[in-house]
Formats: sequence, structure tokens, C-alpha cells
Amino acid sequence: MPELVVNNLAKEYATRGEPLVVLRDVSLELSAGENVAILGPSGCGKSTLLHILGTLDEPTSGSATLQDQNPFELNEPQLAEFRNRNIGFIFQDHHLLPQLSVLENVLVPALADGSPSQEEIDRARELIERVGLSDRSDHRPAELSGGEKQRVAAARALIHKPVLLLADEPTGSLDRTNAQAMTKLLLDLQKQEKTMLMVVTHSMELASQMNKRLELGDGRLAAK
Amino acid sequence: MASGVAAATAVLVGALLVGDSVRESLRRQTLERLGEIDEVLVTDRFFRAELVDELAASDEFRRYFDQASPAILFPHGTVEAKIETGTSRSSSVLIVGCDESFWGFGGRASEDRVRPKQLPGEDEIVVNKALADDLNTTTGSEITIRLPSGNQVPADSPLANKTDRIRSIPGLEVVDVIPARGLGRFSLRSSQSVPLVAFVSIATLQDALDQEGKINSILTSVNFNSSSRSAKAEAMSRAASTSLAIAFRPAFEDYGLSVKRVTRAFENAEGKTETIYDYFTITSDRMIIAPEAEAAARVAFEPLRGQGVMTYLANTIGKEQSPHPSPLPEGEGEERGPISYSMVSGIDVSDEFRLLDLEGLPIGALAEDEIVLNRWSAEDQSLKVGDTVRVAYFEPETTHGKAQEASAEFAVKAITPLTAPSQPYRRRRPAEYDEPPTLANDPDLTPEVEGVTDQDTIRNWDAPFLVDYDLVRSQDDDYWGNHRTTPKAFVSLATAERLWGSRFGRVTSFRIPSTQDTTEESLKQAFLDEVASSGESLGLSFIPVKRQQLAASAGTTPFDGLFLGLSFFIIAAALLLVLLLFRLGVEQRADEVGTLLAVGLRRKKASRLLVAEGGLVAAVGGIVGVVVGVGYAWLMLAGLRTWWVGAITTPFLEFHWTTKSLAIGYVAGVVVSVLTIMWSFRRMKNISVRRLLAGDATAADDVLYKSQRWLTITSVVVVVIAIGLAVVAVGLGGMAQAAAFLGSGALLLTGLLLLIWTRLKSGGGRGDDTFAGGWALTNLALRNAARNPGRSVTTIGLMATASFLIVGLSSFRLAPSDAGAGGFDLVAQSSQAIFEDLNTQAGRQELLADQANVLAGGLAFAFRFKPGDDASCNNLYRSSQPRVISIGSQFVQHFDPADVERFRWMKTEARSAEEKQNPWRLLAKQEDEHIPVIIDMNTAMYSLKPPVSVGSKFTLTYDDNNSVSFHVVGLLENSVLQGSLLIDERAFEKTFEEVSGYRYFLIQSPPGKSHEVTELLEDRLSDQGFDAMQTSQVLEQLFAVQNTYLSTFQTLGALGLLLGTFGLAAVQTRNVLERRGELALLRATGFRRRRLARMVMLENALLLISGLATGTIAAALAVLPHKFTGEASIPTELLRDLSLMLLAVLVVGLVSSIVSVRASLRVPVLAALRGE
Repeated sequence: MPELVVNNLAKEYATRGEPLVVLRDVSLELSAGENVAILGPSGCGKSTLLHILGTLDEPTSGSATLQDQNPFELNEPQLAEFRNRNIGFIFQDHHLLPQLSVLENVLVPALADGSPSQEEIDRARELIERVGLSDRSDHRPAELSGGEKQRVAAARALIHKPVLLLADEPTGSLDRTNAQAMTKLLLDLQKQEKTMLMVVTHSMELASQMNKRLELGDGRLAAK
Repeated sequence: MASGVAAATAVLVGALLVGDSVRESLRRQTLERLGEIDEVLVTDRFFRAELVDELAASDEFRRYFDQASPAILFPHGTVEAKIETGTSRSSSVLIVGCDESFWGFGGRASEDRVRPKQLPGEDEIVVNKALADDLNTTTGSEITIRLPSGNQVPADSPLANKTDRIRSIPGLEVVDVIPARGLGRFSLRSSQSVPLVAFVSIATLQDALDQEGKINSILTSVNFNSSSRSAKAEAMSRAASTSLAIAFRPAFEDYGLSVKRVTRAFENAEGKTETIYDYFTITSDRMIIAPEAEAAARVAFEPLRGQGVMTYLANTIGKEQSPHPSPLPEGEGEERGPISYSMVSGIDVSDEFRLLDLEGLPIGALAEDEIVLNRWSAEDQSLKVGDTVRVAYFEPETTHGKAQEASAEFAVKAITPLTAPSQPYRRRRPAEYDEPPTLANDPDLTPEVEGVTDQDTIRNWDAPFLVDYDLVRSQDDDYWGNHRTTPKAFVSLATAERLWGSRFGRVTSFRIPSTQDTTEESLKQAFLDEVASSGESLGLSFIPVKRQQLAASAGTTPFDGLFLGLSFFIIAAALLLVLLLFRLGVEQRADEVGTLLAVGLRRKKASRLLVAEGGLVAAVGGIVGVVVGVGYAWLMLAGLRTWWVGAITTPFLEFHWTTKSLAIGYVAGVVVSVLTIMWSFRRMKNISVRRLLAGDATAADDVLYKSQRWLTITSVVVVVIAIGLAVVAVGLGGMAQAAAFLGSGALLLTGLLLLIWTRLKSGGGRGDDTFAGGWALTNLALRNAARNPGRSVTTIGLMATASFLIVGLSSFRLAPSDAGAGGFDLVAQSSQAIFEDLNTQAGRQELLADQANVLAGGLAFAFRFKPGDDASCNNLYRSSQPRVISIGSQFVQHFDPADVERFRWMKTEARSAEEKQNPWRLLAKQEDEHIPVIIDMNTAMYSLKPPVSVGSKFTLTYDDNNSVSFHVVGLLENSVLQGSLLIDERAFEKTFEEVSGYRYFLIQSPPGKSHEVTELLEDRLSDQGFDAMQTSQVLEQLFAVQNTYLSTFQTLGALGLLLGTFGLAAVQTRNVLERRGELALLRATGFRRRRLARMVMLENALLLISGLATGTIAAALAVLPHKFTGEASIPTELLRDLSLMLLAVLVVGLVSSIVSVRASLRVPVLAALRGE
């Protein structure tokens, strides 16, 4: 039973002339424990798709439901909560808060609605351990390597056991060794957490390790 | 950015213009109240009115002057009016007796020209609006003026009349009330307060004072523009003064002197005329010849063999101790007892005055303890040569008008014959002799004293002292009938000077033998020549009043500097804005800078380009600032005329500007802004070209926290020192204590800021579970603040320093205290001198009659008073002749007991324990020509130029070019005696010999009777213009100045703080923009917009509250102990105002942070996440 159902999703941007169509008629389904890589050249709309699925952007038409819920029907606070509870993000640029420690950074999503519970703190510690940084939990981002930062970002994305984990070029700024390690970590975590993982990448190496590979071209999604 | 430069320039220009306006307003006020009057002569003696015409006719006068007018001026008259509710009274009214020519001195500009519609005639008066308002009277009503009664024997002499020293002129009809501007506010004193002035005709005053044809003042005006500021005008003004001194030639009589030829001849039986004596006598209308006139007379008359004579009244002469005669039964001859009320002359034996003894042999020079009696006295007392005789007399100077009797014993050196007349004196007819009179038969050795020497019997004397008629024997009256004022005894002049000489003089006449060449005219000329060559003015000299007052209008307080200081926070905040906004501008254009550097421009060149660009903006902003500054100054002046009028006493300030101030303000504003811009650019030099090209002009955004052990230790040490200083401060007093507390507060502030810095630097120093247990968002905001500790601490520091100063300065706010009043509840001044001692039952009885008991259990100290400039904070003019108050021994001794309430001292020269216990004792310790003086610290620091302190020596010139040197031995702290110089009474009497009686009073009413005592004294002493005020009220008025400055500072400081909050908003906006990626991430992880806004708002609030709280906590240390010790009270309203002020800053700060909140909400999440 697919938990993520995308139907005829389209995204256009108004310009002075014809509207710029970025996505057209995009449909896909993803079930728990599945992962998918979205490939395509720069500017093809990969990130746009990712952001729409992450509820950071809205489609022009079409629908997307996560566990049968259409997030685009929610108002801003409900949408924020939806995102907080169901979606985990990993970006090419880790976006860690430099003033916070590793542990605190992992706990940031827990601050979106009050203070973190003990359960959340315990989970954060567990995730840090799982990403191999248990001895660095009180370090600041400035004291971490690029790979380590990205691992913290991964742990942060998983703090609320999201249904959908979205990764936008997660290895884009890493060297090969670190990229491989990150890929392995992502897949391991996805497996352990039984979450859906969608990765937008240029990297064939990363894409090759995914269950599914879809290519975005001319705004349409096709299997590769 | 231009707005920042404009703000800084506006504040600078505004402050300078406030200074310009104060100076120019004072200057214009001077020119207004003096009109065309440049030099004036005002004296306490009357002289011929013709002197004015003589002066005006002089070529030397006409060289620089075009007008000289006669006037009679009394600066301390009392005026009374009958009103519906009783009598209204104004004291210290300037009474001007003038003719039409006075109004010719009115300003040239027609708007300044004020003159009454009708000049006052006989029984008429014109008053200015201020006086009319004070009296609650108007045109048509009748008023009474009271004045001192003119030329008299110095009032402190026992031979002076104390009761008839005031003349009242009742029933004067007010014919016009003129506005208090132009000559309508005529005054010779530099003060911005509106004077109370009454104008009457000269003739009215002359009639009332029996001074027909006489005046006491001359007013003159120069024939060039003396109000010009040019050096040429100044030089001309000085030349005019010299010229005037040359042109002014008073006659002999104008000095109050007269010359008379005294001759006695006797035609013997053979019809031959024998000259007994023939000489000229020079006497003063004040009985005693003043020391300066005496000095001139000595030089002028010694070549003519002139000699000084001091004739004094002996209460008794006799060998018996009992002063009272024993009357014998009627018809049984003469009464026994000493001789009463006799004249004794002190004159040296010389060729011109050689008394003979009974043998006809000349008597030699007298030793100090020798006396020559005339035969009548010797026989009356059965005294012979070698006997001891006791002479009782009044001390030559009185204290509180009470004549004290003293006595001296002499050995009778010789007895000189005295011829009894065949016909005694009759009214207007001298005695006649059958036998040849002797040299001792000379009543003219005694000067004339109205009411005494012109009476037929002793019993008819209208004596100023209490005549004990029980002492007067029948033979004393007989002697008076036969010989009148003929001396009964002679002593040497030195002895007479020692016993009866005083500050008023040492001789009563000069005796110059008559020769063929000597005439009254030649003697007068000899005297005048000597006066002219000595350069002494003998009390008749002109004062360049306009020049002096224009110099004084330079002001006591440099208002431009003061307002620059007061506007400090606005300037700091404006510059901070310039700094922030310029940096923001540069950072936004970092890629441009990067490109410039990438194409090969040197950093210096690139920075110059940007600085030049900033300079251009600053130049434009500066122009706007000048315009705004003019408005700012106008507002400040409006404030000084209304809300802050307490700082300047009266709302007289008008807006004035000078090109110089505009230029200085503009240049200073622009230069400071450009320097700020250069400094802000300095920070970009370490950023790599690559980063700049990427549009990143901020320092690396990685945050690395380090242990700040040393800083922590330092901050703890600083806090410990601050607490130590606070402990020390408890033991200090007054200002020193306030300063120490403030210093300790400032250290605490530094310590707290260091602690905040170290805490932020170490990232808060919290463990892993930072966000647990609530307050997560606050903690996150705190972490955000720690992201850029330098920026955050700068913001907190600015807020903290401003709030610290605003709150801390309130500890300098003054409230009247007992220590400021020395335990006295009333301070009073009278227009005319009072002689009775209100501290004795007799004095109280005399002044208050049946109400004397009202003062029972109270104290009333009287002080001699030399009128002068009010050198207190209430007077904005620089005081060149501060008023002087004498401190008598009774007052000093009052402070000897340990348990008495005393004044608070700031600093003294006290060394011994006694002096430390009672520093007033220092006044009596005169070691050289410098008179020890005690001054209130405010007078010492702000009113005297240059400021003085304990140990300082300074010289002031009082009227008639009398230079007086002072040595500061003590400074009083915030006392009711502010504005005056306080010197020992003896030194006062020597220095200001013309001042008699007491005009200044400190009163300690019996408990609860303050009001009753005030009413009683003001009523009973209304003729003397007695005006009492509560000391607390006087202190409040004095403190109002300082307190208002503090309010001004606090208001302007708060304005600066508000401006600072806008800077803070700019900082926060920048912070938000720098962190847009992070904020977008927070949104992505599920932060709602509202929560994000709350977080940014919290960050702002944290900085604001930390700043305000840190400053307030540090200030509390400065303020609270002060409050608890009770030495300065902080009124509840002030605390309320301060709280409101800080709350307003907080609210405005939070409201202005909406800008940054909005910026945070506008962050494009996707773009930011993509790093675009």
C-alpha cells in the first residue's frame, strides 16, 4: 500500500511571456521502506519536485498525499506541524546552526513546538550514536568535517521518525569517500527506520544504490 | 546612512546653537536693560547735581561721550501698596530717581524703546510690570517707598543714629506701569531674573531725603557703538573709561568734606586784639574722615603743618570708680561724681598747638598713658598733676547696634587753663569773654553732630545712644552752656587713634594753621590735587557697567559644551547608526568590492572609493543635519523656556545662530561620520576576495567557543573591586560618596559586561541538555545572541551604559536636607540694615516688643552683607563681584558643640581636631593679605571664573577698584549659603568698611513656629524690607538647576537610547539576513512562522532587556545605598519616571525589532536553502 501518492503534479512559474513549466503530469507512488533516486540535468525541476513533496512549495495542479493526507489543504501552522512530524530534510548544504552543539542541532526540529521531551533527547543521542558521532555530541559544527556535518544533518532529519525522508544532493559537497559513507549511512538509516527515502542527485553512484531510479526531463518523470 | 550623519550633525549643530543662543540672549538682555548706558557712578553719599553739568561740559568727556544724566539710585528699596487683602510688599526694589534725560538712554531700536506715557512728577511714581505684578497693584493706586536716609555717620559707630535711618515716602500715585523690557528692566546687576524697578522724579527723592540739589549717581553713554563685539570697540571703550576718569573732577564738597576757618581773638583792656588761635578745620559730614580721604589730607596738608584731630565722647571722666553722682540736698553746691558726657581731643603737641599749663609753661608731648585736663575738669574732680584719671567711653564700633562702654586710665600730665566766659553760649551766638580765652577754649576741635552739638543742654541731646541722664550733673550742663563742645581733656593723637579709631576712620578733623597764603580755596585745591595725583577715587568712580556686564554675559556655564555632553548618547547612537548602516551597505555590495579587487584594484584604493562615496553621502546628510540641528536647537530652547526652565530660572532664551557654529557643527558631523565609515571599512580587510565575490562580507560564520578563563577571572576581579569601592563609599560623604558609588556602579557594569561577554564567548557554557525542561525558544534565542558575541555585547553595552547613566545620575539629584541648611529653617534678607541682636532678649524686645517670646527657644544669627552678584547656579551671568557675607564669632561658636546640627562640608583645610569639628574656625586664621573664605562648592566650581577649590587664592575687584584677595579654606556642600563668599566678620569690617549693620539672617525657629516667626519678622521689620524664606524652599530653588540639568540629560539620554534601539533593529535585521539559511532550515523542519517571529523577537528582547537590566542593576548599586543612608532621597516620582522611561525604551525597542521580525518572515525558504 503506497504511502506517498503523487498524481498529475504540475508546477508552473509565471513569467512575462509564456508560463515556465517546470513539472508536468508527474505521478509516482512510494511505499514504506522504499527508496527512490530522482535524476536529471541541472534546472530540470528535481529540487522543485522535492520541495513540493516536502511541502516547502505548492504545486500548480495535481495532488500529492502522504499517508492519505493532502498537506496542501492545511493552513500554515498545520502544514508546519505536518512537515515537522512527517518529513525529514537533508540538504546539500547541511544548514547546521553554528551556535549549537551536535546534540542541540539534532534536537532543533523538536523545538518547533516547545521543548524537547526526554524521549526526543534519548532518540537524538541514539541517532548520533548511529551516525557515529557519539563522542562528538557536544562539539560545534565548526569542529566537524564536511562529512560529519552531513551526518548530523541526517540525524536531525530523522529525529521525529519521518514518514518521508527527502535528500537534496546529500553527497554533493562531499568527497568520494565521504559520499560513499554518506550513501551507506542514508540507506542503513532508511532501512532501520522503515521510512521512505527520496534522493535528488546527479550522482549515478548514489542513484545506483537506490531501489528505484526516475529521471526528470522536460518536466516529466520517467523510469531509468 | 545619510540620516545617521544628519542625526549626528543635527545634534552637534543643535548643541552649539544652544550655546550661541544662551550667550546672545544674555548679551541682548544686558544691552536691553542698560540701553545706551555705558558707565555709571553710584555711591552711597550724595554730591552736587551740578557735577553732571560740569562733567558734560568737559572736552575730555565729549571726546567719547554724548550724554551724562543725574540720578538717585537705591538698589534695595522697599515698596508697599495697599491692596484689598491688606498690604503687599516688595523688597530689594531698585528705586530710580531720574529726570527725562534718563529715558534718552533707551535703545536705539524703536521696539526696545520703553518710556512711560507720563513722567512721574511730585508724589508720583512709575513702576515696571514685574513690580506691579509683585505688588498686585496698577495705575492709579497709591504706594509707599522706603529708602535709607542718605548721608549719615556710619551706622556701626556708637555716635550714629540707628533708628532714623529709613525714610518713607508715602502716597505716591502710580501714573504708569511700563513693560519689563528695555529700560523697564533697568538694573545694574547681571542677572537674567526680571528686576523690580520703580521710577520717581529726582526732586521727590531729594525732598524726602533732605538732599536738595544733590544726587548719588551719574549715568553716561558713549558716542560710539559700544555694543559691537569688535576689538576696536573694546579698545575705544577702555579709552573712554580713561577719558572719563580724567574728565570727572568732583569738588571738595562732593567728597562730603568741608573747610572752615576758626579764629578766636580777644580784645584786652588796652584795646589790643590778641589772636588766641587761627586755623582752618577740615571736617566730614560723616563725623569721622574716611581712611582714604584722611590719607589724601595728610599728604596734602602736612606741608602746611596741618595735623589730625580725633575728638571723641567720654561718657565719664573722674577718679572715682562709681559712675553715678551722689546728689546733695538742693542748694548745697555741686553734685559729686565723675564728669559726664565730655569731649576729649586727641591732638599732638606741636608748634601750632601747644597748650600751656597753669604756670604758663608749654606742655610737652604726651605719652600714651598721659592726659592733660583743663582746669575746670581738674578742679571739678579735685585732680592734680600725677593723679590717675579714668575715662569711660563707648567702643568705637558697635555690634548689633549696642554701644559697649570701655575705659582707660591716664596719669594727669598737666592741667591747662580754661577761661570761663562772661556770657555763655546762646542760640546762634557764641560765648563772650572778659578774660582772655586760652588755646583750650576751642569748641571747634569737635566736629558737628546733628542733634547733639547744636543743642543748648545735654538733656536736649537727640543722641543715637542711650544717654544716662542720671550721670548728668548740674555742673556738666553748666559747662555745656559755657563751653559747648570744648574738650575737657587732651591725649596724644596716637592714643586717641588707638582707643577710638575704627574702620570708619581715625581722625575727626584736620587742623591747618592759618597763614597769609592759606585760604579755604587753596586748601581745597591742595586736597583735590592730591586726590588726582594719587589716583584714589574716594568712593566716587565710574564703573564701566556695560563692558563688565557684556563680559559677564559670556555666562557661567558653557551651554554648548553642556548640551554636547547632554546629547552624548544621541551622538553615540547616531554614529552607531552610521556605522551599522554603512557596514550593511558595504556588505550588501561585497561582490562589487570583490570584483574591484579581482580586477586588480588595491584594497586601499577600493576602500577609498567606498569611503569617498560614503563621504559624499555624509556631506549631503550633514547639510540635512544642519537644517535639522537648527530645529533641534529651537526645540531645546523651547524646552529650556518651559519644561526645563528650572535650569535657567527665567524663560528668557531666544533662538540665535552664528555661521561659525553651523560650520563647526557641519564639519564635525561629517568628519566624525567619515572617520566612522573608515573604521567600519577596516573590518573588511581580512575577508578574502573569493568570499567577497560570493557576496559575503561578514566574518566567517563558524562559531568556535573557547574557554575564557582569563576574562572570567578579570570580570570577577572587577566585580570584587566594585563591591569594595561601594563599601568604601559608605564611609564617604556627599558628592564624593555619590561619585564613589557611581564609580563602583561603573566598575560593576564593566564586570557584568565582561561576564556576559565571556558567557557568550563560551557559548553559554551549558551541557548537552540545553533545550530540556522548557524555555527552549528562549535558550535558542540566547544561543543566537551568542552567535556573534562582539555584536551582541556592543548592543548590550550601549543599552546598559545609557540606562546606567540615566538611572545612576539620579543619585546626584538633590533634595533639601538639614545639612544643606545647617539646621536653620529660615533664611532672610532685609533691604535696610538691622542693628539689633535677635539672639538677645533685649534685641528681640526692641524689634518685636510684645511678641518677643515668639522667638524664645530659637536662634537668629545676623550677618553683615556686601551686596554683589548672585554667584549661585541661579545666575547664568559670570559673577565678577559676588556678594559677601560676614561670619561672626557667635555663629562660629554655635557649631562648637558636637551635638549641634551642622552644615555638610565638601572639603576644608582643617588640620586640628577643633577645626575638623568646626571648620568655621578656619575663617579667623588669616596668615597673609588673603582673607580666608568659605564658599559653597557650586559657587566655587561653576560661578567663579576660573573655578576655585580649597587652597586656591584669588583676587576680586569690588566697587571703587577695591582689590580683595581671598584664600579658600573650606567648601560647603549644597548649602543654603550658595552664591556668596563667607568671610570672618572682622575681615569683612576692614574690607567693606562702608557696610554697617546686618542684612542677612539665618534663623532656627522654635519647633513648629517657622511660619509664625516668618510672619512676625516680616511684619515688624517691614520698614527694613525683611524677607524670610524657608531654607528648604531656597535649597529647592538652588537644586532645581542641577536637578533640571539631570532631567535634561536623562531626557536627551533616553532620546539617544531610543535612537539606539533603531540601531539595534538594524543590527538584528542584519543578523536575520546573515542567518537566512538557518531560518529557512528551521521553517523546513517545521517551525511555524509565528514561532520563528517569536524567536527573533526574543533575541531582540534578550539584548534589550540584558542591556537595560545590566545598566539598571549597576546603577542601583550607585543609587540605592545613597537612598538608604538618607543623604539623598530619590523621589518616588523620579523612580516612576525612570521606570517609565526604561519601559518606553523597551517597548520602542521591541516595536522597532518588528523590522527584523518581518525580515525573518520574508526569508525565501527555498532560495535560502539552496544558498542563493
